[in-house]
Amino acid sequence: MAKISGARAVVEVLKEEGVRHVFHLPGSQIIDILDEVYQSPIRAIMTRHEQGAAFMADGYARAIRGPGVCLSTAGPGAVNLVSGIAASYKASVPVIAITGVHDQKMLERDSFHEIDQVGVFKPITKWSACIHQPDKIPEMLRKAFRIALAGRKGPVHLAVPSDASRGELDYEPSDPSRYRSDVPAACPDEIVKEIVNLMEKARFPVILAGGEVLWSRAGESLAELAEALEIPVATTRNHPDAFPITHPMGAGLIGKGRGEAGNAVMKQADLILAMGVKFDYQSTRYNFEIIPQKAKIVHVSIDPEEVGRIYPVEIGVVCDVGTVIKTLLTKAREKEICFSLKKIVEEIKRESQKVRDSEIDLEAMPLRPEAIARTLRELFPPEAIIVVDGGNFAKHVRRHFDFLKTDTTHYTDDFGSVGASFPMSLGVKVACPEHTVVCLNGDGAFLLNCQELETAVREHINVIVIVFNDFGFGNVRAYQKVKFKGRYMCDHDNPPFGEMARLFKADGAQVERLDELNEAVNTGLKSDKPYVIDVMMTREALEKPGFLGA
Amino acid sequence: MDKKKLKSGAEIMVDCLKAEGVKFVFGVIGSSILDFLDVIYRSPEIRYIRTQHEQAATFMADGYARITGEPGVCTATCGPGATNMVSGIAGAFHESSPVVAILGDIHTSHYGRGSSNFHEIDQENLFRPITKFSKRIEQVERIGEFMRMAFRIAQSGRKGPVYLGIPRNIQKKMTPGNAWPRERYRSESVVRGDSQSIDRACALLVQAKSPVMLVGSGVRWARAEQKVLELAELMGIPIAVSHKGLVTEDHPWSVGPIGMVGYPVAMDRVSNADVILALGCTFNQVTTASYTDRIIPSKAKIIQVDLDPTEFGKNFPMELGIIGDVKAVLQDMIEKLKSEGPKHQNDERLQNLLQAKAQWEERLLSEGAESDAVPINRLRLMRDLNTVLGKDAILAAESGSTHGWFYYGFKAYSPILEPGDLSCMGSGWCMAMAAKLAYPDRAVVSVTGDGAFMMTLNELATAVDNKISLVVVVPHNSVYGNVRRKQIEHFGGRFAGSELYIPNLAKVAESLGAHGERVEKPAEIIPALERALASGKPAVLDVIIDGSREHLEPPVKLRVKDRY
Repeated sequence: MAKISGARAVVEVLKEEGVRHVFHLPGSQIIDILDEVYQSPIRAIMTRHEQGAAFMADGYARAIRGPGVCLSTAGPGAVNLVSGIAASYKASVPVIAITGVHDQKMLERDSFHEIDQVGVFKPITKWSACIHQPDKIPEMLRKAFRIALAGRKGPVHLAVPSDASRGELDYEPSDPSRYRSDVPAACPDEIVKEIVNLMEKARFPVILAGGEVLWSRAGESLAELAEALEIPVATTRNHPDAFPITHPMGAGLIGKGRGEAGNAVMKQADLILAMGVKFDYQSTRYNFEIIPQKAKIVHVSIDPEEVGRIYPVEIGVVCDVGTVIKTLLTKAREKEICFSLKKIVEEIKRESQKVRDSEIDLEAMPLRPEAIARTLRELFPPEAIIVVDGGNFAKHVRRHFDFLKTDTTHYTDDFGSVGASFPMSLGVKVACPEHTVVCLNGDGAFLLNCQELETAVREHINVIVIVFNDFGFGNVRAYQKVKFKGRYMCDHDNPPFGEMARLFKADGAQVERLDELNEAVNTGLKSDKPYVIDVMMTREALEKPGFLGA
Repeated sequence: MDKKKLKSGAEIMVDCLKAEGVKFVFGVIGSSILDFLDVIYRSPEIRYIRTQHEQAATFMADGYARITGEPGVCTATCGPGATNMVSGIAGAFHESSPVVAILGDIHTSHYGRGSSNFHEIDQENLFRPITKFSKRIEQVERIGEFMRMAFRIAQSGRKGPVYLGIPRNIQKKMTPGNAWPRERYRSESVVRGDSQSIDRACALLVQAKSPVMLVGSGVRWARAEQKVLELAELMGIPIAVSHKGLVTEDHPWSVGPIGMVGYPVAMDRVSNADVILALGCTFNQVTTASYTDRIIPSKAKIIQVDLDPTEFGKNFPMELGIIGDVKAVLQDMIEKLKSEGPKHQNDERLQNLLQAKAQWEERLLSEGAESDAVPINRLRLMRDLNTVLGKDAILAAESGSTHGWFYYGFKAYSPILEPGDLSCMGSGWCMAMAAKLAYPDRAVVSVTGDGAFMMTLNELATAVDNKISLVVVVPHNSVYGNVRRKQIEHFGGRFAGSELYIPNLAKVAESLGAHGERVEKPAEIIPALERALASGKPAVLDVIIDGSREHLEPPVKLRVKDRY
């Protein structure tokens, strides 16, 4: 056993875990660990606000379906991570946040930067702890990875005081297989039998697919299951890529005002096979508007705390969804269960397409958000990865920007932290450099984290940013128009974003017409720099009523 | 579900208990839970057990949960009622015991005025670090949902305690809604192990030269003992346990506990193992001699089976981790191994093992299991307990030196209710009271040291009041033996706070309406035990034992150099 520093031990465990990138903002209390990262093969990506580091780690983790790591210094550095870590917690993304802390002899004296970092992160992580002694670093860091990646995934936080980083320990190498397991549990036969019994009695079963399908990489098996059973698959509103609408059985997402075919198939369901969903409010309203009261629900989730939480279940299964899907597929094939709903689904989709088409006005000037969303879909390749921010523009994206392939979108709306999408898209691009990565956000959102343009340029992270520009916070405007008699407290001005991008040594354009948008996107796709497209709308563009309600 | 009839919050709380099939609620009444208890009063299917102190209510709920596998429910009023529950809930958290604590809380309009407000304390935060879920409910219409959530979380995956605080005025408010049947809001589907991992585990066992099973409390929660025995017989594998009685000690392959008071035969098997099949075992400090390689050999390949993936490789690096219900995983392993043809050509291994066990029995005899000495040798007391009690008796133990002697000298046929990793003194016999309520036809006996008994002695009134006829055997030596031994060895015999005044416990018991006897001679033990069991009352046997230096701790106790 060799003696090494605590900081070195942190990096050794990161290497052991196969970590290739970390996101950080430097500072005095994290400096020892960063210096060890510098001397390792791990690429350190410096950000311009710790929030950016947390969101990039989140995007990165989603893209690799594995751990994302961010580091910050003590005090303000640590609390600046909070919004990002909270978002990871809500979306069950395994982010490992490591924060520096003062030398422990400084603590409990109200010293500079001092705050209870462990306490701050407790409500928004699966585990938050301080490593007081250098010899506990390997154990605690391995535990952090174990907890972040076990069961329902989620962020963890470790605070490392400077004296622990600078102290020494005997380091014994290990391997993740010695201290955690990636192998999911199997599905119990009796439960499968019960589900098959229910299916055999059903007339119109519908699969509702959620985020766990993606984390379990079960998209292909789900497609096979839907084909074998010939039943429609709808998705929750944040995971439309869990089952692409282009698949003959794909009905797209559900949700009032967002979904169309998804809502329509759900309406007919007498059996819902809920695969890794949490029945979120925007998808379901927690009532029977979208989820029919008559439908029996089979709820499969890796997290026992989700099963039967919102709707009473007929059968609850605590298991990895991929495992259940594969087991069901075998049974469906064995017993040749088929509902022959393809024609009906086709019909529903044809009708819903007509409704959606009728909402698009490609000629309208100034530009309408529906037309922008539809046009963008046509301009980007199907495998482009799209990160979508919160705000009213996103409702139009949900409705008119169809996802054509699995693992091609990341919505920020589990938590709904406005401004998350741009740094998240940078994390995605770092993980998937060969993919086109696009950030769709509003003007309000972009100005929350636009300083990360400098990070993107410096680190050559060439994403395309689309700004749906309505010179204000459109969702608030919609409320204030209808419910507050037009007392608007949400309007603002903006710099020209294309020009701003060029000042950051990125590139960009401002567009007012669809042909300009077309040209700008094509330039962006070929650009060797990050590319920002400022799509001009009017203040009234996003205040359309009918979208109100959380 | 149906939303027609209006009900009070308290009625909905009790409806939810009924949906769960709750039979007992343990607690101490107070102003903030009057409404809740009034509904229970009118519900014949739920029996309310009034304790003297809220701590005992939590111990009883914990014992009930452990012995039945069903949630144990306890209640108390706000403020001191809540803080009195902390030790018991913390103990349940350590033992992964599904205790559901439903407490009153401050009126919603008074809440948040801090120390000037009578009984107010931040209960939700108080319980947060020692529960899986802690919640104050502010709206009557959400009571049903949070009750369901509490039971779901307590009983799901790795079990554990939960806390709900319900303000008194919220219990009075009316709201529509009916309880959901329990199968509609929580899944009891069994988690099976991955089949490839099971194949690998089987291959490791087949190739092993000196395999051993290490059984932890997860086996009790999964009710998997029979499967453990089946695998042992099939493969010829010794079974060691982390806690006494998790596997019956009269099975040929069962070698007893390892740890600070482990049996030499178990310790030998584990420390010479090349493959350890760890079943629902956390490798805790006591079991592993403070996480060293003194018991768990560093060369052994560890196969860990656990429902909780955050246990994998936590204290020792593993070879293979299988997420799953222990019983289901064992069943799959047995099927796989059987399908490969006949097994167990380990007659020699068994003979060696039986011989070592016989030597162990002889050693117990030589150390006093048949001793006629006065004061009474504790091994004699344990042996006589075994003589009188049938195999279906339920036993409880306490922390302290009594625990070590109990481990050492008593032969267990079922899991012992013991204080566990938090180890609250005085909790064992309170858990035993709950066991007697759950299984009135079985003999229930607790071996409780005098120091521990004095901590919760008041609860004899609870036993009398509720006609709980358990027997508490109190080895009486008027010292905290565990501490005293350390004071002799490390502190020059300065007995700071370890010498106790203990009254005549038999008389105390009698004065509280229980059966009480003092036992001073070995020949009196068995007749006194028989009278106590036949008394039909709660009974206390105040057994005067040898408190001299060499009888403070069992002779096998492991010592860790830098620890007291």
